[in-house]
Amino acid sequence: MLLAISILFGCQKDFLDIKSDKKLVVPTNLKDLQSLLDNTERMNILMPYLTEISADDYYVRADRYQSLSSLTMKSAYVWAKDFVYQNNSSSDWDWRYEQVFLANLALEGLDKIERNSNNAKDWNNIKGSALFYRSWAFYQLSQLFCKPYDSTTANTDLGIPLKRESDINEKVFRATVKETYEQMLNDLSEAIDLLPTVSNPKTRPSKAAAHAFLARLHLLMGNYANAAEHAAASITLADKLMNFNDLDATANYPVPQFNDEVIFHSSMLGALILRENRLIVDSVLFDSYQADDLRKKIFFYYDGENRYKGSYDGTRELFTGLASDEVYLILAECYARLGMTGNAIELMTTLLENRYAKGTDLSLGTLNQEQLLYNIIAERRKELVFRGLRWTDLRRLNKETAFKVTLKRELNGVQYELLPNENSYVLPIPPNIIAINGIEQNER
Amino acid sequence: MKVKFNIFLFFLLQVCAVWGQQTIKGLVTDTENKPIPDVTIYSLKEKKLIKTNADGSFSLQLSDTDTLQISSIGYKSLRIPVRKIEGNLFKLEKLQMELEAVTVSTGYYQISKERSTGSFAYIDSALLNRSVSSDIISRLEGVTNGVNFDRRGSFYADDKPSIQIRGLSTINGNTQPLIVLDNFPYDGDIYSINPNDIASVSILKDAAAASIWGARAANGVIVITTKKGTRDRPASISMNTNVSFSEKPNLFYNPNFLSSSGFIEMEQALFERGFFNAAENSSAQMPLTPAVELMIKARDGELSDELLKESLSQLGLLDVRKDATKHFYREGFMQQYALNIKGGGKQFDYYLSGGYDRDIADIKGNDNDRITLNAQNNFTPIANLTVSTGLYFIKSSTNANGMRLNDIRPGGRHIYPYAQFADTQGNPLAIIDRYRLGFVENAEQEGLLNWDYRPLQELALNNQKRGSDEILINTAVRYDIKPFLNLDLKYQYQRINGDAYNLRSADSYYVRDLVNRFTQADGTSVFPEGAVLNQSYSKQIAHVGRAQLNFNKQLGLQHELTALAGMEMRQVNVTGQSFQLLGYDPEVLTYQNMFDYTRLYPQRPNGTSRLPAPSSSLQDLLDRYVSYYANASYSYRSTYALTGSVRWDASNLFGVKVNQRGVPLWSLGGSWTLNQEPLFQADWISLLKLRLTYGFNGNVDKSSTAYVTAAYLNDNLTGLRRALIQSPGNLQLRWEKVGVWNAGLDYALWNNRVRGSVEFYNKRATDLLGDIPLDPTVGFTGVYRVNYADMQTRGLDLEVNTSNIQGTFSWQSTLLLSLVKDKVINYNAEDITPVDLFTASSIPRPMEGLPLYRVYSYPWLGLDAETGDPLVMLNGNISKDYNAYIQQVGMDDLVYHGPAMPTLFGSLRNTFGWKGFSLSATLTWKAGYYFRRNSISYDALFNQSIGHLDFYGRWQRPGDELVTDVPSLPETADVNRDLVYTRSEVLIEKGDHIRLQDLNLSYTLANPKKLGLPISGLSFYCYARNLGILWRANKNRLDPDFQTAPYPLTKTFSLGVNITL
Repeated sequence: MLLAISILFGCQKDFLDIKSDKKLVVPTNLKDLQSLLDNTERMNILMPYLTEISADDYYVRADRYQSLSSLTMKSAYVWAKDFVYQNNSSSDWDWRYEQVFLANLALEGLDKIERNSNNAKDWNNIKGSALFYRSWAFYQLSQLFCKPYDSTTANTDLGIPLKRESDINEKVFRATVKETYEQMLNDLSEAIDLLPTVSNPKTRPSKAAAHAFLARLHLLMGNYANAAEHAAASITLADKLMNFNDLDATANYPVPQFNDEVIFHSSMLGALILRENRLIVDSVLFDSYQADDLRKKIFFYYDGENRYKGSYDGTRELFTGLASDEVYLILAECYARLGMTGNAIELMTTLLENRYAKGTDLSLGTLNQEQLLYNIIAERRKELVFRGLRWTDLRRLNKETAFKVTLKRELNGVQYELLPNENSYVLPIPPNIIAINGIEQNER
Repeated sequence: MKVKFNIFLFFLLQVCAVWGQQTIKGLVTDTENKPIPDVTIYSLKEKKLIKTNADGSFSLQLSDTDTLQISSIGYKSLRIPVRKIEGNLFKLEKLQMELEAVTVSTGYYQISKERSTGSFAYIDSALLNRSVSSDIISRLEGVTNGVNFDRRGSFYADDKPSIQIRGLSTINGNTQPLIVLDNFPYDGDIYSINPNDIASVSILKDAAAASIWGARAANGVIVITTKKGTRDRPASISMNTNVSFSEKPNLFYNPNFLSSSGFIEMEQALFERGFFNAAENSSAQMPLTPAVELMIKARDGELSDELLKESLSQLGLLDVRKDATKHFYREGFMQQYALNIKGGGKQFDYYLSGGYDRDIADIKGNDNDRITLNAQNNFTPIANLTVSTGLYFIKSSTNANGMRLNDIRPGGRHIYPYAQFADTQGNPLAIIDRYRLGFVENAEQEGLLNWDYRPLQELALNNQKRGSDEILINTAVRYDIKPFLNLDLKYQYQRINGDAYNLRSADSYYVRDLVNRFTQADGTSVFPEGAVLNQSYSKQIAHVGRAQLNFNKQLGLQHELTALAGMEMRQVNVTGQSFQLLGYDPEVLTYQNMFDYTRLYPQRPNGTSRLPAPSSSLQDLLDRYVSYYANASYSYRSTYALTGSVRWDASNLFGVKVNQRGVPLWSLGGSWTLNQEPLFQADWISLLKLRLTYGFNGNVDKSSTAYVTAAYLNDNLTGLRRALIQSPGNLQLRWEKVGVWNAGLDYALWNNRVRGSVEFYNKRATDLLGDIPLDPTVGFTGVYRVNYADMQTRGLDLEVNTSNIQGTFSWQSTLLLSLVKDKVINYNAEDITPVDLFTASSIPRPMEGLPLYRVYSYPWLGLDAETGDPLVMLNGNISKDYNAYIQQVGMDDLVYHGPAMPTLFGSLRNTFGWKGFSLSATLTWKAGYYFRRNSISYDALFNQSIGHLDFYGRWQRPGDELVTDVPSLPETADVNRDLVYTRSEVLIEKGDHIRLQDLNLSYTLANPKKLGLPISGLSFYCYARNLGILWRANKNRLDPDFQTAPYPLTKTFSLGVNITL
């Protein structure tokens, strides 16, 4: 009998592992796991909009502001100290953690499937993709709810909850900023070896995308050498640039979806305040485009005000993914900062040749390192406008005296100001989250 | 004071009792010279107390002046002065009112009730067989303490009730007790087991009794023990047969009715207001009642006013209930035949039985047949080894072609009260259904099929039947390793095949209607003219295996240890499929399947529609359980007992993490048999036993899932297959847990003339499933069901058995009284609104601090003296803005009445005997609860034709408001105006009532052999059930158990005979 019991004991785990209703589709095989990740609604599109709403590339008229019903948007626009979330919650938080949940599910599913020579390609792709997507969510959250990365304080600055298990009963707590960034760096490094060189469709991650993403992260962290290394690696895999001379500037949306520059497709949740008939492009920014800069006509149109139409999504939705133009700019900036001005100028020339009208003189040769960096940062702002990156750049560059700016808005004669490195550069965590799990709130 | 004195005396005697000692060695036997063990021997003077050994012997030193008292349960006590003792044999006479040593079964072990610490109710064969029914469950009503048959969820009175043992201890989980047949949980339909094969039923109520069933024990356990053979007995054949008759259902019971004349009056009023204009002019040919059709004809000049008046007054004389009673119902008739043979030799015993039940229901077209075969064998091929086999077979088939009045719903409404189903010759008549009369009458001229709906004809045109056959195979091997240790291996296989068949013939209204509706302009129909067949099959296969070690040893004279440990694995697999065939020909089994279900076809009388797609479905469910358990009891001097049990369950229903951790459920109990103590030695005390137990039982909810589940669809952006998460799963999902305290006192006084028990219990249910908002950080938003809520149930069970008169004429009474109160302690009920409180009572709307089910109402301010409109209080002012009132009424404005489930219930059974005759009657009662009665809702009357007799008592003229609360007939229906009345406090009634449950008269022939009959036993019996209510608190003659049912349970009368050869 003891023998019988021990045999029963031995197989008990398998005995109870079976699902009780066949109709329940429990994602278990590779195809199902891939389907979890192919849910573009959570993995690629509808990304946080609070970054762009808070940024300074645009403004809205007071009546347009007043007519907004979302208190979240209203608070974000004026960097309100007493930030109010509509319904006390925010999809910018909720949906990113849904993305994390899906990625975790896929990763846990893989733990139960043995990798062999037959399934290695799919298995690797799912593992690499899940790590990438999870980092993508963590990245979006970190730009909203954590302080900008500062190597001196990252060890104590509050990060985001790093959910690494799908178990919904797991206790949630905030990691540090350092842990948050390290999580992304480690996951992406692991993903690089697993992902295919390029991906199809572009909603799926690739090696090129992982390098580009790492370059972006290292740039944020001030690791210029690492950023340069990954940017260069990305460019070797995906170096294509669109020549804006070939685009139809009169089209409603001149830049096509999934175009040659797109490495990883992602777009922002449509915000009413950012709709093309509401937002007015910041005049200083608009005026910074020179007359022979094709972007002036391709990115913007005029209907009494300057409006934006240059999304890499090819629609009115704002593109927030990874594209080769950004990688060129990262690499150029890093080269400039590392003193490799020659390389920086070469890269910038290549990029700008594709942006300016044919025959424009692009001589950057006379600039010194400081001027060159300043020039690259200015080009960066012009190139990556309405890509969800401005807020991140503000947070990053405000640490450097040369690039510090104070943001100003005005509504019906009331002035609003956001000083460099102010606490309001970190958004409060939505109150419903605090109420349920009791994690620490950000200072405002 | 007296106790103190006794103690003093006790010590005094200890000191004095030194001289004149003699040793008495004796043997206690019954009148048939069989030794009786465990008899209490007590010396009145010296207060010495011992017990007889297993062979009935004892030895005791006593002084000459002392007196011996010899007593044992079930025997008359014997008192004898030491001087008068002659010889050493003491014979005890059996008590006339036999108190058999009851052995209760838990499914894992048997324990004598005397030695148990837990709360068991035991129903023996005699009590079970007092009632007549084809199932075992209904025989438990009114004979067990703490068991409530809850019928609130039933629409029809004969729907199977929900059974609650000691109230509720779950909110969203399963409330039904676990049913165990012999050793294993029974996964079939318990109503299909033949009650003639049942020997006894044990009900396990507290933790000590039930916790051996672990995660499924929270709602109590009903253990059904079947009859077995007996060793060393020649074959005995026993036959039981009976017939039962039941009355025709009383359709006149339900007050939701308006007489034809009243209904026509109302229709006339509505007609004049143009209420039917929309229907009359609708291109959908919306149906109108015959009375309204007549009114239209008269209005259009096709019918004179006199003729209309006469026609309407003739319709006004009709009553659909009368007609329905005649054509759709009948007296029920039930036959039951049961035969069994049992016996055994030295090394084997057997029990074989066969049963046949035929039930002709009181609804025409409904009947049921059941055959049961049963063979139970035990044999001992070699010493120490017992092999048991059991085979149980049940086959049942049911015809369900009947129609009840409530099934006939012309145009989706209640039937109009002047509908007639047959003419005076009995020919089926057409009634209106989906379309207007004129439209239907023209059908055949237009080349369509006859479109009449004749309900009575349909009885023969449809064939609905269900069948099931079940086989239950048991094998068990018991090996006695040592006299005190044995190993028990058991295996059970169960297979239930079920099938359902529903054939609607080509001539049925269902088919004709579809054919006509889909007849196209060219006269052909896209719906085939053949029959429509719906068929489904299901198969349930269960395997259970169990290995158990049993230990039982007497240690010395005074200690006894019993222990067992084992493990069990169980798997239940349910598969099923269902399909539909169109254009089916039952003669040659052909059907048509070339249909375009996606296309929209023009439909008659108007619009377009797709063909109804055949419903097909597949099912595959697999439940698995693994359990380990152990139980031990220790007793000292037969006076003190300690018991404990522990069980660990795992299942594929639970979360993986919980399975890995495995929280055991346990219980502890103790008992103290006071009457074994010198202090309680009194002539009039036969038994006095205190019990106290505490432990945990679990409850499984199968509707929640531990797994992540997803659905698949194509991604909008990429076209790739993407998964959408349906439920995030809960890896920590676990069973609900109920901690139970139980304190009890068993007593038997004055030679068992008064005996029974009283028990208090306090159940605290924790980890109950409740809905909570989820932290979106976990990756899933929305409400989510997890284990967190708490509930408390307290109660008292009292049982008193008295033998009031003994002798040739005897009178015995049994009183059962249960008090039970539940309260939700912890539940996230933030979103409960006053509106929620009034929706269907079967959905729990828990509120902290209140019973799970309770009754609330709107306060009643009376009727407007001018108009008869109900009045409400809105923002401190009397108002008639009903909509605003319903929207704004707060929880504090409501009137709280009390629980919706009985808090006090019980039964009283009196049994009178004279010679071979026995007459017994059971009264049952329920009290301490409230219900909301129905009344007139004008919206329901106008739009659904649902009337109510309160209509006649409505406000009609000023002054009526002083005598009635029924609002006046409004011009147009306003649902909210109805609601402020129908939800008001004036319609809340107390549920208290007393019912005459049943009567049994039987005659047993004392000694048939003497009369020269070749039989050993013969008895005749009459039995009557559902005899009606004797007293009720409500003044509306409503039966609180069936207050919304179309008719109450019908009275049933049975006659039967029992013969033993």
